[in-house]
Amino acid sequence: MTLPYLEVKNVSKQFDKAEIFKDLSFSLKKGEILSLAGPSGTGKSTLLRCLAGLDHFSNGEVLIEDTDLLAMQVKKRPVGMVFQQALLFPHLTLLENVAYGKKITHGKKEAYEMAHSYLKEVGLENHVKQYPHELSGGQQQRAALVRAMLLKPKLLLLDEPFSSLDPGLRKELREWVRSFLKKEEMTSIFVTHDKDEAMLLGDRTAVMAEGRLQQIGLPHELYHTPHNALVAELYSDVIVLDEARYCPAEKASWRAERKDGHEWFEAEWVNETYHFGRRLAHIRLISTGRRITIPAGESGKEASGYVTIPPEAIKYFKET
Amino acid sequence: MKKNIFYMSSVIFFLIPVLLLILKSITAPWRSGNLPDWTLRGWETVFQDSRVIESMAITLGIALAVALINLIVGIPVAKALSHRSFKLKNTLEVLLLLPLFLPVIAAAMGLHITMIRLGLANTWIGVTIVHLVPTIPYTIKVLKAGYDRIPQDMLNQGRMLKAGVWHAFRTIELPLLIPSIRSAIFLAVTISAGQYVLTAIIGGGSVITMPIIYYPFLQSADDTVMSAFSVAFVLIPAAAVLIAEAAAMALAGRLFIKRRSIQ
Repeated sequence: MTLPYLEVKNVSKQFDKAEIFKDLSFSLKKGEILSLAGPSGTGKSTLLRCLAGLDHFSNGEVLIEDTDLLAMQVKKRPVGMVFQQALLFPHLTLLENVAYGKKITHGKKEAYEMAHSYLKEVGLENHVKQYPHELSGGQQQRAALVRAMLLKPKLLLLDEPFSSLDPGLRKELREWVRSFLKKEEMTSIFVTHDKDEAMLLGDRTAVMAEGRLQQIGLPHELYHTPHNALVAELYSDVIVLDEARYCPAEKASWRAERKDGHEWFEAEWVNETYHFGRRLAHIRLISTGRRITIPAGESGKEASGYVTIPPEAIKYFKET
Repeated sequence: MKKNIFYMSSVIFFLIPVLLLILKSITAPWRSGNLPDWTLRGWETVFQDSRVIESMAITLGIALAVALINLIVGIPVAKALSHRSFKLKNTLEVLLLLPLFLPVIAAAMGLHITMIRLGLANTWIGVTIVHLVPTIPYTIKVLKAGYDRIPQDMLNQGRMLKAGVWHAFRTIELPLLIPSIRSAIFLAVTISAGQYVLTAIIGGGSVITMPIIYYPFLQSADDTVMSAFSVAFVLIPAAAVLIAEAAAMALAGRLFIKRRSIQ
């Protein structure tokens, strides 16, 4: 068995007695990308900041290649970070920006040569003399990533790096970032609150909510066998029936009448959309007020009716 | 349209009065119906007084020292007020502004006793220190606004790229703060150079700055001499700003020049 490259053991963070997260543990292999998904305000960014050294864990241990990461000063930590905004220094040219960190550690000549070759690789070689305000949002974010990569960190942290970009650009950059990280064999943690983005970018995905890592696994594991209601609601297309049971949304149907032997919920028709040729019904459940999306089939759009679930479709959470 | 208003008001409120002042300093007092007589009498009177040149140097020296101390004190305070959160932050901000609401004479009388005890009364160091009272609140205000425009994560990014505190300050904060620093220096210099009461009390007549000579001149009611004196007075902040710019250029080096060239 190979030892993990990065090992995070029981880290916790408290702020003024309020617990932000507690006892998080996970490990990464070299070159692995972990997507960290979950609703905003659950401490994902705080976790990254603590790993980076911009903030401190209250408890816990982090090992990278068997050395204690938390004992190192920020300046010595082999960790890079890309923030939500590109944060290129506005008074420096693209080349100077990208070379900034490398220049400190390895001197000007080596930094500029390396920056040049990387910028060429990512298709920004014609912009080296331009200032950040002359570049587009996507170019800026690409430059920010290259700037962090130039220092060859052992761990790269990406804190929602696409959140300030428009959707079209996001899609384009996702693929580019993944292939770039893979080519460089960069061990990375990628924070997002977008389910698709988590699946597309990460080798594995961790779902963080309510201060805990709820589940960590391959995208299809999380999607098909969520461990609990939180993961199911955040990551999967299912209807949560109660603490223990759920049903894939595609098995549910919309009817004007209840059906014998089926679980049912009284519900209200809100709207309909089409996706890959299928008609989808957007439904509001009367009892909880939650909105769900299920296949509409050929059913009509009566204002009120029932969501029915066949008993054989019901599954149980595998709480560990 | 906006530009035109700016240019017009600059001409009316700035350029014309300055030109008039210069013109008056080289002409005899005007009588109606006569063309003005050209004369250098005003300038001669000003510079015949040997104390004037000396006082200009003292004023400039004190103003630059005041500006320097303002920056040294103001930059860390402004950074803390802008980028950190701590208890009673707003209270502290108000406290730091309070010297501006205190009548200058009250501060001067109180500080005078302290200065005598410390042996700083009647010295230029004492005058420099007392000039900090009306300047530091402005400096902190101006520099805090400067730091507010630099996102905290921009500086965190610098740390993540392995820049040490001093390196980050020199290569990121300083270049981005230059416009604010320029304003702060200009304010500190003009306020310091214009102090009469504080200088008179703490300097006790031994530290002769421009205002100390300027006000007695006022009684002469000779327009030509007064105008020449006023123009000479303007040279002090102008010289101070030039010196400060040169110093900043030396410190920030290449970055500073380039930043100016792209503006």
